[in-house]
Amino acid sequence: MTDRHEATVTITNERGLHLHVAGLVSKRAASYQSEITLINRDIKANAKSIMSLALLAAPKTTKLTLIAVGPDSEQAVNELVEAFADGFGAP
Amino acid sequence: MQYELSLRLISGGEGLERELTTPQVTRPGLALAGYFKHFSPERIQVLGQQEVTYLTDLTSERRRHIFEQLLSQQLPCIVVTRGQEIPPELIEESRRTQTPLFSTRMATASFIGRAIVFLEEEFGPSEVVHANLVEVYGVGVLILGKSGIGKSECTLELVKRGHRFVADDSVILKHITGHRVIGTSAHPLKHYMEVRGIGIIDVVTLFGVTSVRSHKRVGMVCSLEAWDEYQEDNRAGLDEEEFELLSEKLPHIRIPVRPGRSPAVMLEVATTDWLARRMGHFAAREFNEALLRQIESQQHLSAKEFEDWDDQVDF
Repeated sequence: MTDRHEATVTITNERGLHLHVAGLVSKRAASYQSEITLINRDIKANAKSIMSLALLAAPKTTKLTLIAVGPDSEQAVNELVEAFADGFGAP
Repeated sequence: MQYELSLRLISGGEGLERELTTPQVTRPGLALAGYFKHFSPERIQVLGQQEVTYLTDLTSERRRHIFEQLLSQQLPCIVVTRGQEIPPELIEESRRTQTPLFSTRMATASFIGRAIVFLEEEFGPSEVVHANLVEVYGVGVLILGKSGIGKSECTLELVKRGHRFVADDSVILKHITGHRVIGTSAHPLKHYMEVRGIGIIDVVTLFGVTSVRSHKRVGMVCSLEAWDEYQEDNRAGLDEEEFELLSEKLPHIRIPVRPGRSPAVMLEVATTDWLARRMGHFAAREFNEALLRQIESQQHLSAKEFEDWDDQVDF
């Protein structure tokens, strides 16, 4: 059975998921072994890729579906949910 | 770093050992009229057309008296410009006091200009760093990194790609006026380098005379970092990092290195991108501005829209 975890996260950054925030998300996501995907309506983005995250063009308050698949998916989802709530420490 | 000052020693060669303590140059003007307040004897004294004409108008006795006063002050040297005829009393006094006396055919203003540039370089702070220096697309790139990270291999690949070699392993950096840092090889045989697995190679013999430069202004600093030690602080390239070199702040890029990746290509692209930024094209910022507009208007690219992109962009 594949280890798969899912959650909903909300963008809290004032100007949405812009490039600076995308950089922070991808840096954090890249620290997990799991494959991490963020979904905004019909757009799926690889959370480890900046260019992919930019496709989401998500403004503040957007709800995204976070899916992690892999051995550390539970830890990844838990920590990323927290990080999104905090806006990855960015304004 | 050679500046042709076309100096010719006339007399007083015994005094060439005198130490020059300041990069400044002066025209003694009023001192020739006997006024020595605020006179700076520690500077190189330049006699231009005005000084020499003034002196020739005087009596031989008066000239002798002036030169005795002037040359008794342990001057580092005297330079007469424009190849002017030198008063015999000056030559005599220079021999007697062992003060070096030079003649140059350069005009006074250009001599002083060049002399100051040369002297400020000589007097400027300098430092030897463990690094490589290559000119990439006209920009001097100082390559830093731990031993064995691949600085020489990166340099070699850049030279193979048509860039110019300045120094391998040890670079002398010199801080000069105009906020510039100039680098040159610390090795007496300048264009040799050591490549692991091959040994010592001569860059000029292998790649030709156009593949080397004796010195180059450092325009950018590039650190090669081990893949697992690389700190990904600036992934989107929105921020510009700086590196302080001899109190000058220079643009800094860090390139993570691991087997199979070519740091030379990365360095080439980073240099090109930096040149583009200087011309006003900051790709990361332009991209971000477009993204912010898109976020604001909330016009997401639909799945259909990016089908058209499919063959251009690989997600």
